[in-house]
Amino acid sequence: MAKCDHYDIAVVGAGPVGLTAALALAQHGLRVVLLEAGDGPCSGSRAINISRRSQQILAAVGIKQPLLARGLAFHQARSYLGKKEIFHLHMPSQEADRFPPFLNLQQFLLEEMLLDAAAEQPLLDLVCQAEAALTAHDESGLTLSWQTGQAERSITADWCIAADGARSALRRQLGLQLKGDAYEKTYLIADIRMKTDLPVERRVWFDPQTNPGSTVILHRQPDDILRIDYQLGPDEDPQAELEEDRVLARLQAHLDYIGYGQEPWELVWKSLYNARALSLDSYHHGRILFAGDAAHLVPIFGVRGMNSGIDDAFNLAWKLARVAKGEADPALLDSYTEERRGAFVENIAAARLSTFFMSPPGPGTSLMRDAALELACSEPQFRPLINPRQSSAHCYRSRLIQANNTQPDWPEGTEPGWPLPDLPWPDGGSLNDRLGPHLTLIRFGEKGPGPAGLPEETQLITLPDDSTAASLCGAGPGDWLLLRPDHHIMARGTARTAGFAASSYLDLFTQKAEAAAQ
Amino acid sequence: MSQKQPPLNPAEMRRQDAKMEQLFMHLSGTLDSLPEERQPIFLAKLCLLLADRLDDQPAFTEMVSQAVENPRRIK
Repeated sequence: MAKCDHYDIAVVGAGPVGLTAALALAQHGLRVVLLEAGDGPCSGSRAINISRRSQQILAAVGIKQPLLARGLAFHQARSYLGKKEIFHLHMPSQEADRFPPFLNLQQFLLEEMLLDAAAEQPLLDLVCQAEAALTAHDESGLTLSWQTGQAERSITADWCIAADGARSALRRQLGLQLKGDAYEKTYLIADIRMKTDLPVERRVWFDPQTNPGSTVILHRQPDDILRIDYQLGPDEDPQAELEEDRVLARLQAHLDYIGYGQEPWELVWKSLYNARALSLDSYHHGRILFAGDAAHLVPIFGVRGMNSGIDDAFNLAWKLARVAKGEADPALLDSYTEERRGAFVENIAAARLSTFFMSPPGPGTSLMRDAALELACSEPQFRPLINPRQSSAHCYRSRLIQANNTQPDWPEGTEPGWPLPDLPWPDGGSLNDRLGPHLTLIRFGEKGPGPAGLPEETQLITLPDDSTAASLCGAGPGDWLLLRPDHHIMARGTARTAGFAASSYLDLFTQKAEAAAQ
Repeated sequence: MSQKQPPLNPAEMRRQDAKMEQLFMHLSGTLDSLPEERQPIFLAKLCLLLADRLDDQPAFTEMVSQAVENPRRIK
């Protein structure tokens, strides 16, 4: 329940994105209220693939242990033409990685974990059955109101994060439009309970006998749940296909087809899905910032929906915290749209071929897809076209990143802009588990003065210059990495470039908000 | 054509894959922009133009065989 009348931040929507943002903001010491229209966690599996980057973020907001205990690690994907395997993707892990490339976990289980963490956070209040409406909004803050029985309840807040999903009420209230493309094809997605020895991997069948000319996707989840998605044909009525008898018959046919038809099973959830690639032009409107599906929608192929929303939340939380506390200029928030809309554009480009392959927009693409699938049976050069291009971390290129001194011998993923890869701690464990919500300077060896002009709060981590972590970063004695509070590498240098003058990216980080101070 | 090539480094593989993706998307988009009844003649013309670029006739004959070949997938 709302214990106060005024909060630093109101977060609307207690899905994975809103919960992640709220937990991260509370870690920064802000008083947060989380307003959720429903009773609690969602129903159905919904977003089930959690990327390695999302796992890093979820660990940072406090749910590493339950996440790894409940989620099913998945490292592989297989694609079939009929029953013939035509593509096998193995996603590698390094020894220092704390997390697998992907975890399969039902969205409601993830939400339960985040809600448990929220209940332990004294700065965070959760209000359920609060269908919040914006009743006032100006340059100093906003008011949100909702009905509780016959009574109306209101709170005020300095800032608001709208994480209220694809049908965002706040987006509608502000008269904002998502722009982009919607694909006509519809997928039926279903969860079934069945004990199985199927491996935990993504499997896709192109043109199976059970769905000729189309596709079926299968994922295994915890608690003996299988997720089966199949594309509906252009002449099939989605609502008629959603009838339970019809769903049961089609699922049984596919289980028979893949050799699991004799196992007992039950249907536990079903829904419909259309691929969309839509976004707001800006994610920042006055005192309201949009995140996740409220800001943008991406096709599920490549699992970028929830994962990009979790990335939004973590990118936004530290920036909004600094601005809300008067520790940074509000211009810092411009970098949220700059970086995350840039990520949306990258996501759409990466999802485009997968979407074209899974859901061809026209007969020409469908013909080309079929040709590529047939050729892939014997010609390996065509197989990469089938690659599902799963969600991956983003390298930011904004004013907040000093990328102009990048050296060619720095290993891929350790250059400025990337999130810090998992690195081992010299005495065991992971360096990344020691990172807090601060600016962090990692120095390799004691030599050299280190970079100048850093704020006092900066966390300092010194590692031996002959450590495995130094080797993985390609770092020599005196080298250093400067991390943002979201653990993206902000700048990197050597002993020779240690005394850099505080440049624009650091100014934005540290500059006090003159307007707020007045 | 399945000719033995020396293994590519990861960066070169990514470049090749990106090139294949671009070609695929360009061809797909072009086909989708045509009326369906014009698609076969477009593909036939494209084949002739590509064949004209090839000096190696046996290689072209082999490609024709490969394109005809049914992958005999198990339904």
